[in-house]
Amino acid sequence: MHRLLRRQLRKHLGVEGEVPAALQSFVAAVDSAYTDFDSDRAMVERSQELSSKELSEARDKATEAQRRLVDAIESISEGFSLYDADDKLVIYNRRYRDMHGTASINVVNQGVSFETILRNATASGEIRDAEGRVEAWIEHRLAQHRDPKGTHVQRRSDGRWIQINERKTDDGGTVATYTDITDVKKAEQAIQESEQRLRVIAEAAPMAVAIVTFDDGIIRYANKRFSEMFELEGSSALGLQAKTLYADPQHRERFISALTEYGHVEGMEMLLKRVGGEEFWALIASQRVEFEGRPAMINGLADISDRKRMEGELHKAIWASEQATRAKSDFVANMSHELRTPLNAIIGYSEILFEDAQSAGRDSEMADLRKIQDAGKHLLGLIDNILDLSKIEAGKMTLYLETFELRPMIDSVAATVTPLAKKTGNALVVNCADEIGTIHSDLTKVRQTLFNLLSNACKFTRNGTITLTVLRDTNAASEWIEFQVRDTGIGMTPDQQAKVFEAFTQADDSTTRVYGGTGLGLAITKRFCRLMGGDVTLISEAGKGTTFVVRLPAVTRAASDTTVSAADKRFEGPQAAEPEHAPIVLVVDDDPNARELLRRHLQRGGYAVRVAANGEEAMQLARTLHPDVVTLDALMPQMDGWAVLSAMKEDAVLAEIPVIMVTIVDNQGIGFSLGAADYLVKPIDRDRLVSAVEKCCPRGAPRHVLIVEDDASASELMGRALRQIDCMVTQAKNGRIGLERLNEASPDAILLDLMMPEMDGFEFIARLRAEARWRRIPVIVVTAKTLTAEDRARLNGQVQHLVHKGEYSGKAVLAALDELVPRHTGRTRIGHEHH
Amino acid sequence: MKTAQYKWSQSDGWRPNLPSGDVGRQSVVFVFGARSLMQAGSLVGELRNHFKGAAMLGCSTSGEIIGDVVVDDSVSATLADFEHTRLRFASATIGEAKASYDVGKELAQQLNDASLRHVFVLSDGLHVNGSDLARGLASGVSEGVSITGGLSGDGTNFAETWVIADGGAGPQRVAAVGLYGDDLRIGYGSMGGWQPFGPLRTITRAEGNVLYELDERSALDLYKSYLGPHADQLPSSALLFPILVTEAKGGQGVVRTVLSVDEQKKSMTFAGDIPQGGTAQLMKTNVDDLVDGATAAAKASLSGLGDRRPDLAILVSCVGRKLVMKQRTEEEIEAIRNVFGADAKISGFYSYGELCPFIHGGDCRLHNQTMTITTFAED
Repeated sequence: MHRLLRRQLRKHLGVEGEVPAALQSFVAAVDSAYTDFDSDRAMVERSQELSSKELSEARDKATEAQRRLVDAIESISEGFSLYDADDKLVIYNRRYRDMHGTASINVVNQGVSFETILRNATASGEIRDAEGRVEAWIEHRLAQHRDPKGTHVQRRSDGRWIQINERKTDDGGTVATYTDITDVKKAEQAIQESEQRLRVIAEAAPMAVAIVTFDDGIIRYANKRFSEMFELEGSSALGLQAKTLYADPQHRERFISALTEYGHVEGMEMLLKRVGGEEFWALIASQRVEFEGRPAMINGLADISDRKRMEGELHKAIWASEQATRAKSDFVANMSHELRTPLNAIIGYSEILFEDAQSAGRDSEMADLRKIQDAGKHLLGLIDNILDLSKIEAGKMTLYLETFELRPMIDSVAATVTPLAKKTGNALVVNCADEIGTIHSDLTKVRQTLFNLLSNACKFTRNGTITLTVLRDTNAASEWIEFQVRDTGIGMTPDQQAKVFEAFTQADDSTTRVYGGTGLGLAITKRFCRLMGGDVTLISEAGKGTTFVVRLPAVTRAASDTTVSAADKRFEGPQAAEPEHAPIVLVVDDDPNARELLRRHLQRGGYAVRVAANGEEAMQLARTLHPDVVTLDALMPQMDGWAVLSAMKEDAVLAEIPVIMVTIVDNQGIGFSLGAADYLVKPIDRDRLVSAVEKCCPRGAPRHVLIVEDDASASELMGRALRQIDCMVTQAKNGRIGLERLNEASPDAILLDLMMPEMDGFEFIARLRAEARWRRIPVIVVTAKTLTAEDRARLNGQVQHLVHKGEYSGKAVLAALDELVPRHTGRTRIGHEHH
Repeated sequence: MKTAQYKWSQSDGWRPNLPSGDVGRQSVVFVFGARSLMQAGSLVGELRNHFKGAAMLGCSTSGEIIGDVVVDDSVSATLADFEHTRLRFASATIGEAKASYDVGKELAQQLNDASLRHVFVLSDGLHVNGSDLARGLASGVSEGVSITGGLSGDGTNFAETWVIADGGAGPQRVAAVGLYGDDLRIGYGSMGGWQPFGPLRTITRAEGNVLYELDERSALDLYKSYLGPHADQLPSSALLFPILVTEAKGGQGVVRTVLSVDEQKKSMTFAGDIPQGGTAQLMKTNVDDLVDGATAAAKASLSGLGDRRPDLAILVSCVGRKLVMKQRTEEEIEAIRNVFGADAKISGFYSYGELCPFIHGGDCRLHNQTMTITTFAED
């Protein structure tokens, strides 16, 4: 029996155990109903349990699926929301929630409507876009949400920009992603601001600015100044082809290729064209840039028409000034030529008259003639100096660089200066090591520099000492040669020192009166030194003397176009051969410099020279060579000069050979007593040496010289000088006549003026060299003309020597002649020609 | 340990008659009765007079359990006179000023000492957050001290519940007895017998022990649809469908019973916390399952007693069980009797909540819809 039924029977009927018979069938029916009910209920419950279990499993699966979905949605970088068809929030991620402000964030929950969230956000002032028009904005936003059109951007009050991308779902919901594009917007804004700033700057710039895209050459931006520059109306610059603004397509090409190559162009000058057609010059600076994502160039332009015009005027002015300078130079050159020619006559004839007066013993005339001569020489020197200075100032002074031994140059300068020093009662002392070595410089200018300083010292010192010291300074980074010229003269005050190197300045105006001089020597000296890469300075104390210090680089670099190699200096023509039948001079000296100097002097004098470095060698050579003359140094190691002289005079074979003592020992007595033919004291004077040797040596045949010169007095002067040294002279007053004379007899040498009527020197040389038989005749050009580079080019290779008419021109001509045609060879050759 | 039981009914008065004379100082009279009878006070006063020296501890009920029967509108009195075990009592009022947790903790701390073995608690059943109270109690005692008890009932009226104690009787009271000494043996067991059914729902809106929405739908509406015509009898009819609540992070689910409903707010108040974001599933049961549950609880409660049979068993069973079992309610008591044997004194009541650890040795927790048994024995 069912437990409940049994309980009920007991409780309500007091029945325990057996049910009364009358109720048994009823109780059985009830019991059956209870049991059936339980059984039915159990079945229902089982089905309920099973479906619950299935529900639970389904939920687990759904939960898992949703979890994955939520994970996915959470993991995306954008905010995400899904509102259902009733506009209730269904799915969202944390980012979506976090995009709401603190005041509205708690509203963002599943099941909350879009509008509620929206209203909360606007109520707490989170939406910038809604400010001041909340209802209108909400309405707009709701409409947008209901019927989304894709992407739109929302501005939040906290400064963020949210890009919202909304789409409808199939079931009428709305799915949206929210991207925080604040950074992008900020960057965009920054770019816009900076673009705006740049635009303002560009507009305000005093320079014309334009941006041109590369591929199509179209102007994309132009500032006001640009439009003004090209006279473009309003914004008509935009869209214009930039190439229409160039006046010269080549300029454009040059500009574009430079820009393509380097990426930028700085300060290129270009000829451009305004719309009206007016051309103008502009300075352009350009840089390759990106403009709106396309390769472009930004150009800055400045109108430089004014500058260009000024430059043009400046060029004209410079040209005019150059013209003027050239005219001045030409004038000076011509004037100097015009002045020199008569001066040469004055000097030459006064010399002749002086010699005549001297031999006739007319002493009073001699003094006057000397004054004429001195005045002429002074004037000539002045002209030479002015010419030098004008050349230097015109930048036409040229350096002829060569390497030469210092010592012989010093000796030669000293020899030249010695007579000047003696004239004013001064002693000249030379301190120069024998092994001083060489210098690579311009020999003539170094010599002239030293001569100027030394003669200057002589001029301002009376009865004192002038010391020339030469040193090699190897301490500095590069080697220098230092020449010191010290005198014990009147000295200079600091004021005078400051001006002494300026042209036309002497220490004192009064000095000119007392000491003479042009005041140009030191100015020229200074410029020469500078030109050679060195300098001249001075130390002086008034009343105590002055020391000039010249410092020259041991090697002057041929740095400028005013410098040429010394190889160009000499006119290279057919060299005079070593004279075959020349008298032989044996030079005996232990000092190689002295040997070399003697050898050169004598060779120029037309002698064949052999050298011996000591007594024994001298004796040996004397025996084998049988020289015509011997020059003998006295002081030599081992066998000295006296011993050699004695030995020669005791030797029967050698006794007849004349011996000239050349020594620093001033003891003529011993020399002559031992049998010396002559006695010379060093430093050696060339003329004295040669004349001494000549005295001992029989003269050769006279040399035949043709003088082609239009100026009769000059021609006569040269003729006299040549005859004095036993030359045979033929004269012609122009090139044409010169050629006629040549046909009559071939000379040993030709002295040629360049500036002549009928046929000038240049043409004469051309004709001369055209004839094979005359091709080897040496030509010495004697001219007052300042040669141009073109002149030099014409003469180069055609003439052997060039002598400028001037103070020492006579001597120079004779020296050149001696070098080219040694004295003892002339007759033989002329004779040979004649036979 | 001596025990004696008395039952008062309108028709019979006290049966058997109340004894006279003092009882030992280590005595307590457990009193369970209908709220109106408890409120009247005269019966309790009678008991005090008859059991001088004994302490009173009791509450209003939704049905008294005495011996093997379940009765309503009566009073049961069960004397427990301990030989070796010492007793101490504490009580407090729960109100606006005092949160359930704090009250529980305070009581426990009052009773706690090194020899405390067990605390039996009776609490108001409507104004308390049983979960908090349980946690408070658990936090106030030393490890190894067990706590059991229940929330008083009010038939199926859910209007007012009373707690009876020497410190004062009335609503919003919590009273407890501490049992001390090594000779005491305590066993406990708690078992429901309810099965979850239907969809698992997400608690989308809840605050504390008030539930608003499940799966974004009104929880009250959902209940009503399940209850059908029984909806009129809310909140008591909601006891037919307790919910199995699991926190969002998972873990063991607890069964929660509706205490009251608010038609205005569309909310339901439970005897314990409802975690928002967690899940909830309706539960149902039948007489057989409940009886099986009671049997299991009885067997579990024996384990704490070792080889001893209980001298006294206090049964706290949920009013929901009674609503389900109706005429067959006593079947669960009979099942328990079968486990304990004829000698054990059985007392107890149908409650609005049960207090007991989930597992043996665990902390005290609030339960709903269970049969919770505490067994006592002395060596």
